[in-house]
Amino acid sequence: MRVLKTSLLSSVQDMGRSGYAHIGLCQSGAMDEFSFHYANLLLGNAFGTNTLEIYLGGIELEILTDTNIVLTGADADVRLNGSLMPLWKSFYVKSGDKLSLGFAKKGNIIYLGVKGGFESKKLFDSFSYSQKEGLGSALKVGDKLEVFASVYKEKRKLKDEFLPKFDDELSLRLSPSYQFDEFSKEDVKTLLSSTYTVSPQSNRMGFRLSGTPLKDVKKGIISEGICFGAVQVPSDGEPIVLLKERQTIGGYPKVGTVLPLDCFSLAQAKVGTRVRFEMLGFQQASSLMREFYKDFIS
Amino acid sequence: MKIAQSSVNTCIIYLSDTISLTAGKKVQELYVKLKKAKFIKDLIPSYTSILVEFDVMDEFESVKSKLEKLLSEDGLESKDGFRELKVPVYYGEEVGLDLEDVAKHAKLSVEEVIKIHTSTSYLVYAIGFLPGFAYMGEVDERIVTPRLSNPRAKIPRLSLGIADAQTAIYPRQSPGGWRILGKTYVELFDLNLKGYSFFEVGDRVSFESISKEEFLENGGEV
Repeated sequence: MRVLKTSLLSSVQDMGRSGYAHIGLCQSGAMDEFSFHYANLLLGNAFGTNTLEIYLGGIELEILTDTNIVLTGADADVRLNGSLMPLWKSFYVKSGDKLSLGFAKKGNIIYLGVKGGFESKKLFDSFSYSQKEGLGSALKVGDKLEVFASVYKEKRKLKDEFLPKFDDELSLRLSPSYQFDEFSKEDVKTLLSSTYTVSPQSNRMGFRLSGTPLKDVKKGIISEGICFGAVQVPSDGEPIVLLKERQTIGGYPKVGTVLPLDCFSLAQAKVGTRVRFEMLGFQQASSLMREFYKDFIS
Repeated sequence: MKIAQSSVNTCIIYLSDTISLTAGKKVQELYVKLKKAKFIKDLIPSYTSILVEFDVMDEFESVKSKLEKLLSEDGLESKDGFRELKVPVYYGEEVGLDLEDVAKHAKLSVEEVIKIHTSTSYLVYAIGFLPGFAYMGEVDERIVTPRLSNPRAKIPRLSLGIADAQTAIYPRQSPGGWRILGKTYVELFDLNLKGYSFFEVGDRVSFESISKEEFLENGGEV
């Protein structure tokens, strides 16, 4: 595929890096795994095959190889040679076809999956672009993405009942972790009873939430390893949910960890989306995630 | 010692409540042990803790009991432990951007600051911030200096700095507020390095003051 027009940020993403955090390499990887895994499932791809992660749409590509593709994630008009195509349904494309994406109406990220994945260079066992570390690169006009040719035509569609809703209000299920016990009862109450909104200062590293600040926040803690979904509270008292491109260690207190499924939804939440926290025990959180991954790992 | 779940597929082992050389050595010993465990996918050792990533399909309780078993075993394997590294540094005024300020703050001469900085053996407590950026301590209290109140937008790569009682080298150009004392020519993060990072948590590091000639001959950049 050749890139004719780029978006705000488009890059190749897979499940990110594992096994290099001890030397400071961040995880990176697909921000919305829900849409990412379904893209691969609808193509019959292996678990974790790389896809394009396209922020806000607006991209144009020329197909150079006959193959199957699928688009999942944010709601945008997808056109193949000018005709509207469905999302969440794999279809066949031919050399010379032009694929164009309108702007994302609901959600932020569109995943473009291709049968067999994109042929590109692995760095530290992953294809994922990592902006902070300069690993890989974002798509530029003129870039050529190598894909494998496929003959058999895929036509799989996700059932409507599974489609994400992109609501204006999002509930984040939070499990108590890290310094939870060191936050005052009043601050925990504030966190659980307030409505926050997604701040414009949100990116692949983390989503900042604006709203009632927590009052009694420790200035710093001894720097420690940070997991996906950890909710960091810096001294201004407004929570930040740390996502795929988070730093490996950090010295701000953390009040809990958001269920990964809800982190995937948060990644798709537009600036201004209302967000509330509710508590969920780790046992339930773990079984929800096992249930989720079971559908994709065969 | 405490093992606490931190997410559906991670837990954190706390070995101490305070930063100390003893705690740092404990982290290093356990880190060496855990690196060999097959049920662990990733590890993030830091000053007093180790974050352990496991398979999301595994139950935390079973991971916890495996970790407890490992923790209770004798530290027999810890002897293959740590490396001692010597890093050449050019403490020249054209690269040691804050040498004079640090000397002033310490009420010492520049030469004395260099002598003190090079006569300590440091422990790598943690790696983070940038790939290969190693937090080392403790800096001799005579030259302890706080970070710049206005961080620099660009610190040249391979600059050596101190911040309070810590010392570190920037593996690549970066914004930062550490007080810069000098520069090395040793690559710290590179695909061609074994393990990719020059430093690893638990390393014992000392710095050696070298001349400008030696620095330049080895590819150092002023």
